[in-house]
Amino acid sequence: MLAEGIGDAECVRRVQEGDTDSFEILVRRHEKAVFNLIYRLLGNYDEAAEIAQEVFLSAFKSIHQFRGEANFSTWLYRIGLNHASTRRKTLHSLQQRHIPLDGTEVIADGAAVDPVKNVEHKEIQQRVQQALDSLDPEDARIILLRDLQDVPYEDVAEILDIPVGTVKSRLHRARQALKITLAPYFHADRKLL
Amino acid sequence: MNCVEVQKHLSDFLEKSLDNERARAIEDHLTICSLCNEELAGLVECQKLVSGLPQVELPVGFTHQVMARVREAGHPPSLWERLFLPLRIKIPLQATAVVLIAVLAAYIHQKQPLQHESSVALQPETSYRGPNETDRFVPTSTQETTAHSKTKEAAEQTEPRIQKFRDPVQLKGPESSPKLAEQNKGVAGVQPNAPETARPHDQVRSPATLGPAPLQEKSSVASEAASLRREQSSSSQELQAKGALAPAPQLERQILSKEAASEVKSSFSPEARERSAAPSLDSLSSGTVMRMADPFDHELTIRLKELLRHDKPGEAQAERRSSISPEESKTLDQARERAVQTGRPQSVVVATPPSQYELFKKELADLGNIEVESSTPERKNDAAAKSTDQLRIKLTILPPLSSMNPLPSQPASR
Repeated sequence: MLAEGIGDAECVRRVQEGDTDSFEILVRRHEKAVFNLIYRLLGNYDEAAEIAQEVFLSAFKSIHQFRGEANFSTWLYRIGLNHASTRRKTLHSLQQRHIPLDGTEVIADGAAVDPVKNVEHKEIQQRVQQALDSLDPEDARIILLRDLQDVPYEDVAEILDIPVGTVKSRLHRARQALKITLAPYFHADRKLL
Repeated sequence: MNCVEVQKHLSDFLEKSLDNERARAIEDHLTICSLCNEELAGLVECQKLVSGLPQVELPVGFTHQVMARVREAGHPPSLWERLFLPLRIKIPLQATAVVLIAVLAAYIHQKQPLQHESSVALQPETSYRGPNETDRFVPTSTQETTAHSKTKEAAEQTEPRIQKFRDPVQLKGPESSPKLAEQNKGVAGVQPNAPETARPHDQVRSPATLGPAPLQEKSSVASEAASLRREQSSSSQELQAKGALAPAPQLERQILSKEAASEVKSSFSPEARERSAAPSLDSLSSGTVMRMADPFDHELTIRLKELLRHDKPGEAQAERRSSISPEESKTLDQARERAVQTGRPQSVVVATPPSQYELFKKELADLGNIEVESSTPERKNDAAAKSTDQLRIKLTILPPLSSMNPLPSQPASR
């Protein structure tokens, strides 16, 4: 029986003491965020699934190195971004990155019920994903952490191992770059498409 | 606050991370500047688009797959897993290793026959003595009788090897087969075309011949006795030829030491020692060894013509040869007669000027066919040897094939 109520720190301690089952709590708690972050960084569902598994496996293998000085999620994001960045470079060189157009991705909220609007939403998301893919990896990472995952400045600074001031300036630069990338698709009323 | 400053802080303004004073200044600027307003609207839209990206559901069974791998990583792999998993990596690796081992084994196997042949080339020493030696040797104890019978057995076993030994390729000597020469280094005076050289086999066997050691030792003892007897009955000229059979390196001299000779002595009965061993051993351990150190310029092996088969002993007329001295010519004729009479090879040493060497070979052609001709490498490079007027030639006279008298249990000697 998994004690879902216990905190990350306690779970980590248990895992460090040899309780492998406690790691499942951590997996269940963070898998979606980690997977989505990786997915948006890679733009490939299957690759993201494989890399996400690797991330959790790496976290388990090196959990004895986690000292609890930062949040477990921060530590996990860092591992995830490292794995995803490495894979992104490989995919970029192989030019295999693609955005699934055939609905292979399963949208959690299922927002658009109207088929027309659903198609519009999908197209918008594809444009945004393409724009993210075309960004510099550092810019993409910082935008995804801050705007997609809503990670606080301080945690972003810790994950990326840069000062908070640098996070702010780099975030501004990244948003400008994204805006420029998406500019051709903006209507006059600032709406995409 | 101008547009540049405002746009620089628009992202922080969006994040609401500016202090109040600066935030108020930006708000004031935005009320009057449409450009900065447009910039802000674009940033807001981008932020909304990214944050509005839908959360993607995980693949089915993701958690279980992760935990399965985690649990697998938590347990040490079994021996089977360590040896063979992951198959996609380890099977090709192991297959490659097997192929490499097979190639290596084939390579080693290819090299082995050479070693074997080299050991075979040494074997005729045991059984090449001819029929007379073993017949004349009369053992006085049961042990010696056994040794005698074992000699015959060994001879039977080595008969096919002798056929190999007769192969001219193997008779060529060390120059034609460097590997063979290398392996023969440990054997005293061993020359494929010098079968009469007395050698204590049990001390100088090369590693390749260590297999049938006990049997060889027995046969070696008997053949040594035969060899010693033969030495006794041979003329002094023959002894000289035997002593000067081949260039003997330092190692060979050591092997042919008195110690080896005394061991051979102890293997015979007192009668046998009285009859034959002592004088020959003396010469073997002193003068003969020293003479073996004298190198030759050339070594020739001739097979006497069939014509001589019907010659009766003493019937052969001494032939005049201009390439060598009359004494040497006489000695050569005597050796030829002995070869015909005894059916075993005879060796003589002659000297001739370098200019007469070819003539000497032509004159030899009257006696028989030159089967092997070799030059001694050391002498080739020896400046002192080049400066001398005379070439030293070791001549081995093989009897005609028809004059050989093979025993039923013994291989035909040449």
